[in-house]
Amino acid sequence: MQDHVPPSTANIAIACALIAGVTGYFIGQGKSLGLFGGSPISTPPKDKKSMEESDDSSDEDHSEECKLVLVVRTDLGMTKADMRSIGKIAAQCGHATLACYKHFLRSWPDSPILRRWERYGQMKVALQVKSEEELETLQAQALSLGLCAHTIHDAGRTQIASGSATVLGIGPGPKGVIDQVTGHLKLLHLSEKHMYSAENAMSLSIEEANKIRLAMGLAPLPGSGGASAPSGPMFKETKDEDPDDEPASTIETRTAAAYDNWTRLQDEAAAKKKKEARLAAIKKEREKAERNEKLEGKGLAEGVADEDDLAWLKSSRKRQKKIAKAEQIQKELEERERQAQEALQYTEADLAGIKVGHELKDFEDGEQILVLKDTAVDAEDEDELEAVSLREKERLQERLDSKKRKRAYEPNDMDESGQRSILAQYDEEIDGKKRHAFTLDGQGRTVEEAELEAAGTSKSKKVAISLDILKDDTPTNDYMDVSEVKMKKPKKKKSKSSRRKRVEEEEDIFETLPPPGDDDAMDVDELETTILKPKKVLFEGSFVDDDDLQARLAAQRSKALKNRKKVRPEDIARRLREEASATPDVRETIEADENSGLVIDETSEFVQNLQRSETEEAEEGRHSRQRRSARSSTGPISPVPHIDDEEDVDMDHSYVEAGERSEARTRSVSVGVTATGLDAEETVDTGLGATLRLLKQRGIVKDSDSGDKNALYRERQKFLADRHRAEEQAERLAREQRERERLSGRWSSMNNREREEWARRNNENRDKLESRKMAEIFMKEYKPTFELTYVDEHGRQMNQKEAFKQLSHQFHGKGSGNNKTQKQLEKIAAENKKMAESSLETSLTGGMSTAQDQQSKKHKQAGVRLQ
Amino acid sequence: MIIVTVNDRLGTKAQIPCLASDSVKTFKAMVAAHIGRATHEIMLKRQGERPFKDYLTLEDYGVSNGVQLDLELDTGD
Repeated sequence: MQDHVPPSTANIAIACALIAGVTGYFIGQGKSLGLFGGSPISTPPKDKKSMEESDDSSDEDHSEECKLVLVVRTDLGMTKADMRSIGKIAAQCGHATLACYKHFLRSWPDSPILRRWERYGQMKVALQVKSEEELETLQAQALSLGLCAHTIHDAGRTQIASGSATVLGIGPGPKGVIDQVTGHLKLLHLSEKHMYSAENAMSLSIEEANKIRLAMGLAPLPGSGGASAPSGPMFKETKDEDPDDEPASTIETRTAAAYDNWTRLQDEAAAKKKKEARLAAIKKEREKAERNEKLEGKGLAEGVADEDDLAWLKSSRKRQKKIAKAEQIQKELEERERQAQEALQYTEADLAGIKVGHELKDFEDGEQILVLKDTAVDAEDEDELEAVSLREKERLQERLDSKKRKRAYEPNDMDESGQRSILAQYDEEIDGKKRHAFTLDGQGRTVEEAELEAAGTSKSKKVAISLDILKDDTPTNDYMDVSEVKMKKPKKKKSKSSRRKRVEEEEDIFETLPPPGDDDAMDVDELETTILKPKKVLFEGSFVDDDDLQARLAAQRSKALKNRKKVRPEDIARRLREEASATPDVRETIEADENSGLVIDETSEFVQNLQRSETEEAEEGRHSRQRRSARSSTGPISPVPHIDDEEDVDMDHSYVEAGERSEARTRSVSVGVTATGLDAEETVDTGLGATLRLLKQRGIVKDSDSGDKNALYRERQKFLADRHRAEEQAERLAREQRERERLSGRWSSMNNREREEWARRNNENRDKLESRKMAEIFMKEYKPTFELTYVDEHGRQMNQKEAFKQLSHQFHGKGSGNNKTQKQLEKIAAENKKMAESSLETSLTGGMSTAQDQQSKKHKQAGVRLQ
Repeated sequence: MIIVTVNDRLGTKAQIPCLASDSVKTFKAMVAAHIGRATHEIMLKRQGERPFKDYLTLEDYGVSNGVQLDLELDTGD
């Protein structure tokens, strides 16, 4: 930018002066030499005015200098501080000088002024103006003073617009005159300062700045020379295509839009006007058309056909007929309509079957208007008529009744049907409100009335006997009638009950036995047998399905009893005493016999036992049979055969009978053992066997697989014996061999050492043989048995788990905690106790009693707990 | 538009037309175009004040029309 160093003003001035000087000099020289022709002395012809002036001042003007003034416009940008601009100015100035000079030569070639100008160095002065107008004004002034003034217009080839005035040349002329015109003007002073005169300099630098700014992507500065803002306010262009710009948001946009708005309004108004005009025209046309339309069509005269009078008459008759016919049709229609109307009217018959929601007596007061009752559309009940006023009355009555707080029970209150319902006060709640209603039958009566008439007589009768009904209503007995009750006997129970009966029977037999000390037994016994007999009959009656064996047995037993009555009581007592000495069980039984309280106990035990299973029964039977056979075979040890002996008295009875009898006796005697099905608990005092049995019963000592164990033991013993024997045999053999060797000559020939050696070898061989044999035996026979048993400090055998626990405790050196130890001790105590106690003991911990309790609970039997 | 004079008091003086909303950086670029120095070598400051920061605008420093700013050589310190 700064490559062009602007030429100083002095340079320019010198350059101009040089050009002008040189030009003038050579012209002057040429003139003086006569190169240009014309007399150099002769003054050139002048204009009138200038002539005068020159005339006036010709003498005095001799001294006055002449000069040519070049007025340069500076507002064209030629004055830029670059060489092109300077050249432009110089060229323009040259043009101007030449133009002036030529003009002088043409119009006044021998002018003394020109001459003088030429002579005195062709002085040229460059001045500056700032506008074309000024330039023109100057030209005009110069011309008015008779000076030669020429404006140079540039061809516009280079910098400036074509045809624009650039330089005004005035003169050559006397200095004073020219100064009148251009004296106020400044010299063309192209100094730097001048060149950068505020505006221009700024515009210049702004352009540069804009270039930079554009290069940097910034907004250009406003008011640069190139894109200089036009003077005066400018309307913004309306940007219809810009959607971002909110319309009329600012004053500027509004003012910008104003003109457009105005024009648009104008347009609209014009368009509207045009449209209206068009519409009006259309309307007008239409109206016109309508008017024409009305006038079209037939006129009055046109409608009538061309007919003669006769034809008209004929047709008139026809018309008459037509009219009459129409009237008739009308009448018929009316008639039909009337009939339909009549048919539509409601009568009584239409109301047949419709229910009226009131009582008949309600209508006695006066006329009521009935309307159809409101129901839901989908309700299934039929139409019902009701009177609004009556309904209101009813409701009021109801409310009053509810307020009265009637008593619930009204003994005299009765239904209209003459019946009382139980707890009638709840009828409404259960069945819903009862409505009085009647149904119309269409003949002025109600259906109910007709029905009443039909069933009138029976109703009156009912009323007459109503008291009886009351009587019938007396509450019946709370308890059921015996005849009604049907007992259902469970099938399963039957056999049991039969057994029970049998036992009872047996007990009866017992009871019938006279006490040993009783003397007047006979009568009593007689009496008891008589009592007994019907009992037997009853038995047979009640147990139809029982086997006849039982019945027969019973009969035989009773017979036997009869027979036994002949036995004297002393004998019995003796016998009993003997039996008591024989077995403790029997003694117990006798005790039971004497103490009536214990009888129940045994019975209950027995019953309980009976409920176990059929197999036990069978067992029992088998036992008895065995006993029977044993009795028959073995002799006098048992008391039973003794009885047998006693009974040899009545030999007339068959053997079987006698056996039967004896069996019965045995039963009676040994009830404690067999009849209950329970073995008596073994006691410890009788011996080791009994004790073992007791323990076995308790399950404390188990029946181990003793057979196997025995076999094992035996085998082991055998094995040991075999081994022993083999050893012994080997020993003997060895000894014999040794003997033999000692006796042989070889032995004697050997020295001591050799002997030892020999003996050792022999021993070894023997050992080998022996061990082989032993090994054989071992392999064949030996069956190792071992058993690990652990016993704790209480002497109990521990199972695997307990043993492990104990070993673990021993190993770790610590035992269970307090609680656990306590528990363990308790458990052991409980076990000991259980072991010690009798199976009959009725404590909670076990035995029969809990089972019995459960059983009795199950069957809902009453029981006695003995403690 | 404002015209800001930049003067280093050593013979370099320039009048820069710009906008008040220009950042100091932009302004420096323009100064650089005028005086023939690289942008990063130019430090501008008001007399006796701290140097201008690039990311602020002339407006922020209260630079208006006709204000003269001191031009110094920025050594990067």
